[in-house]
Amino acid sequence: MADMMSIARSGILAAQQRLGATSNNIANVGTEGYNRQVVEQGSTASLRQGNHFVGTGTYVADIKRVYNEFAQRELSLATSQLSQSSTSYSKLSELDQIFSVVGKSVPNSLNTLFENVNNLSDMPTDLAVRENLLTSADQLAKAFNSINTELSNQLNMQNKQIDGVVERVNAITAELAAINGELQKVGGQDLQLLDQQDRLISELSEFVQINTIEQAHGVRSVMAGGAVMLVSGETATELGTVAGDPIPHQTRLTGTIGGQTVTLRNTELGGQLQGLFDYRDNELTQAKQQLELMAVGVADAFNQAQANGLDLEGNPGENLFTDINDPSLVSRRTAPFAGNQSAVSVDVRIDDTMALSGGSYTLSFERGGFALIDQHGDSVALTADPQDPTRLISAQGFSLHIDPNQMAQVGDKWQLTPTPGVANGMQMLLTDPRQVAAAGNEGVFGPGDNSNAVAMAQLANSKLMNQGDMTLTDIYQNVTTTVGGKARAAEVAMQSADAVKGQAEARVASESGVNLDEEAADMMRFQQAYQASARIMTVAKETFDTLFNSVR
Amino acid sequence: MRISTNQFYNLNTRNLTGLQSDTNKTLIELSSGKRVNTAKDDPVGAIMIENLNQQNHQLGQYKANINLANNRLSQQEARLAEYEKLQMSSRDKLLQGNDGALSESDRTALALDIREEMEAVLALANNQDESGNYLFAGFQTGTKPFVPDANGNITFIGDDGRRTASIADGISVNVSESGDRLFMKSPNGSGDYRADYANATMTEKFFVESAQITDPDGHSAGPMNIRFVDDGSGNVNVTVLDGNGGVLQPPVPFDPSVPLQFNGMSLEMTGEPAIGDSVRIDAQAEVDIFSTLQRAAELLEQPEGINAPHAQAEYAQLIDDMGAAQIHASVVRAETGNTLRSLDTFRDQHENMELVSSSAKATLEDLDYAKAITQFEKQSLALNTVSQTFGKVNSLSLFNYI
Repeated sequence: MADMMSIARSGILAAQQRLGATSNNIANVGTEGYNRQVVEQGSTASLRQGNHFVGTGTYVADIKRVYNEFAQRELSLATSQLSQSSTSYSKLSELDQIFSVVGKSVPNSLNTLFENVNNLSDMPTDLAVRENLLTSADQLAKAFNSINTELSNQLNMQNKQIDGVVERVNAITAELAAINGELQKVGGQDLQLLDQQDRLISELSEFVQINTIEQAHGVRSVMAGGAVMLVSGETATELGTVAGDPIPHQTRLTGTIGGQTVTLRNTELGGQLQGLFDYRDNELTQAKQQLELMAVGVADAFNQAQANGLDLEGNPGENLFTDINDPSLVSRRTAPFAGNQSAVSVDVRIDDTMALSGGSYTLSFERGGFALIDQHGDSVALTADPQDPTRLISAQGFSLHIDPNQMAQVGDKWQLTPTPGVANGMQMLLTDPRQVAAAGNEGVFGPGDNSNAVAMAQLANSKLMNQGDMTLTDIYQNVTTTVGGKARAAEVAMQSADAVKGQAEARVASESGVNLDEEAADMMRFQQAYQASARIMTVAKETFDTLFNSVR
Repeated sequence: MRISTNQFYNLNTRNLTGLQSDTNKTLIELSSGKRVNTAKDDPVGAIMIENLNQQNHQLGQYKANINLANNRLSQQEARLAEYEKLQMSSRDKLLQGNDGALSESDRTALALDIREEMEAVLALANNQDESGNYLFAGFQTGTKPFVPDANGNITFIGDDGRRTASIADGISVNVSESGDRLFMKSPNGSGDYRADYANATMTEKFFVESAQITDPDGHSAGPMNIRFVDDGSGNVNVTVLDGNGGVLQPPVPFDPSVPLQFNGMSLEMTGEPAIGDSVRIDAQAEVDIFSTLQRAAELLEQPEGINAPHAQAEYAQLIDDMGAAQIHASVVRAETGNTLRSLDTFRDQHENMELVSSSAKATLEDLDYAKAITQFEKQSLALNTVSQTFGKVNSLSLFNYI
């Protein structure tokens, strides 16, 4: 009967363990990333008694996490996708707001300027009308400056956010590497440590899309975007950012491991980091380029109109806005790559705003001479100017002026953007309202001549941009609707990613999550099992007592 | 399927926040009255809305230009009406003077009247607008356009510039009239050539009614002399010579009912010229109102009046000029009137277009309130139901029973 006692003892111990596990599950019902634990119980080896075997009780074989590796991977992927699309969505909504609400001051002040030009054509000699025109031109220039500042701030903010994400990723990967070390040390399955590892991986997958490689003792190596090794065993790659080449504010991602730093491609990362890079380098850059294009168009159209007329003194009209080929602007159009062998300076001058695309180009010096490709990778023909040997003309509205005193080396490259800086540097230059050129320059000058003002007012409806397809205002509308369309598409993508993530989460939770009702039932079950085992003890005792009494 | 407790809560929270965000969106739409608040709400619709906005803006601009043009042209119209009145009273004075029975003092008084009329026309021609710009100076709005020269003749020192206003796509109208055309260039009463009666030999009365170029290619321009000669038997023949004495029209019997056709022109004369009379005609298509009035006053002020045949003929010529000037002014006034009418037409057109595009915009942009309110009701019902059931199911727990 001693067996009965030890069987009861093993039952009590097992029930205690199970009650413990149940309690732990209940306690962690609200813990993020907690996988419920179950106790695996087995019966102890039986005892041979003569010709038969008798049971000897029970024992706790293992305490395990209920964990589905596949569901976890799916969740991690869905998390990255949602994080990427919701980053895109929130950035694009912000840009949508900037263009739809804040930036409206650009087309609005352009309209006001045209109103004043029309008033001028009614009263070409009125100084108050002329003054109003200058004021609205000044407001237009400032509207361009301010939306440009807004977009530049966006750019800086993206870079800061990228740096912030990189820092967090580094903290996580460092911790994951440490956990890997810890796991190797304990040489086994510390459930709490594994849960912590899972939590970190799932946080990491918000920032980048990751892939994990399972190793012994729960050690996991982590790759980002299938190409960048973030954690390998106990070492983590430290990410960083460096200034872009050739455009410094287009920072690039680097990885440092064992003292060696390499530049990483930022097109296959996934997650929030990808969303940030994509927004900065595509949507934001394009929107900014189009805004610049409009600023170039506006400045050039009004300056040309001024040049076509005579001011109140009968002198040819001077520039209303900063010249689009002002040296301060020309200097911002060329960015040499860091690896260039020569220091040849390339000046980009705008010849024809109607032919401009607003995009950027890459110029390279090959064995055959200079070659130009646009941002879509298509090559753009350059023809030499027969009058000017230092000038190369493209059919895209600009020409290149190359310093003849220096020799370019094969392989030298420059990034050319013909339009930047105009929105930022745009200024209204006229100081005296008499300088507005309302009069035409044909025939004898007369202050009452309004023919140039009439022509200037017609710029509002003239298709001056994009090969004669768009008016000045059309460019703005085009950006607004493009950004709006992209924001809408990102919203749809985010909604479906959210649904996918919801399903993946449900799958993980339905397997690994704690259900309180289930735990309550388990608690009663194991409480009863405990009570029953305890009862066995009393029964065994009573049985002994009966035996003792009978022999007394 | 097994549901974990957290999952149950998460699911419900997710449903609730989803419903809340939908309801919030409907509320924003309801409060702004717009279905499209930023481009992202409906990118395709936004393109249309932006285009319609810009179109409406342009139409508004055209309407503003039409208003300004309307003001200018109405001002001009009022001046033209005033000019016509002055012309009418001047012509009355001229006709009064055309009377051989008038005494010298009567004539002097009339001449004074005519000079006053001329001053009134001059003042009108030098009228300024509200900002002090000369209305009829062309583009030289800062300079007084009609001034007397050293000989007291009124000259025009403005230009023929005319201001325009854009009133519709590709359509602009003149909003100012050149004083040169209006005052200095009314047609010569006798056509393309004009008789110089002041220096004519006129023993009898005759009058060049009209001297028109009929065939510009067959015409050689230059002064011509009309001579009345003896046909050999004491009858009056008429011949026309060019400036060098070359014969343009060989002598023919003078007949007022048969116009002479020579040198690509047609010459019509009346009266009873005497043999030996002659008059020179010079090319002059236009005359100015000031010299007409001034000359009429001068003729009346002559001590001998206008009784001499050449003075009578010249005075008659001035009365003809006056008539032509009146027709000229009424043509200009009619042009202004037509432009004013076309402004009204375009304004109506723009207003109709605005209405069309506003309603097109409304269908794209404006909220369908009935639909939105129904949707809001549905959403709040769902929100209510989900909250209530969540509360009920939530209170069910096995722990409550042990």
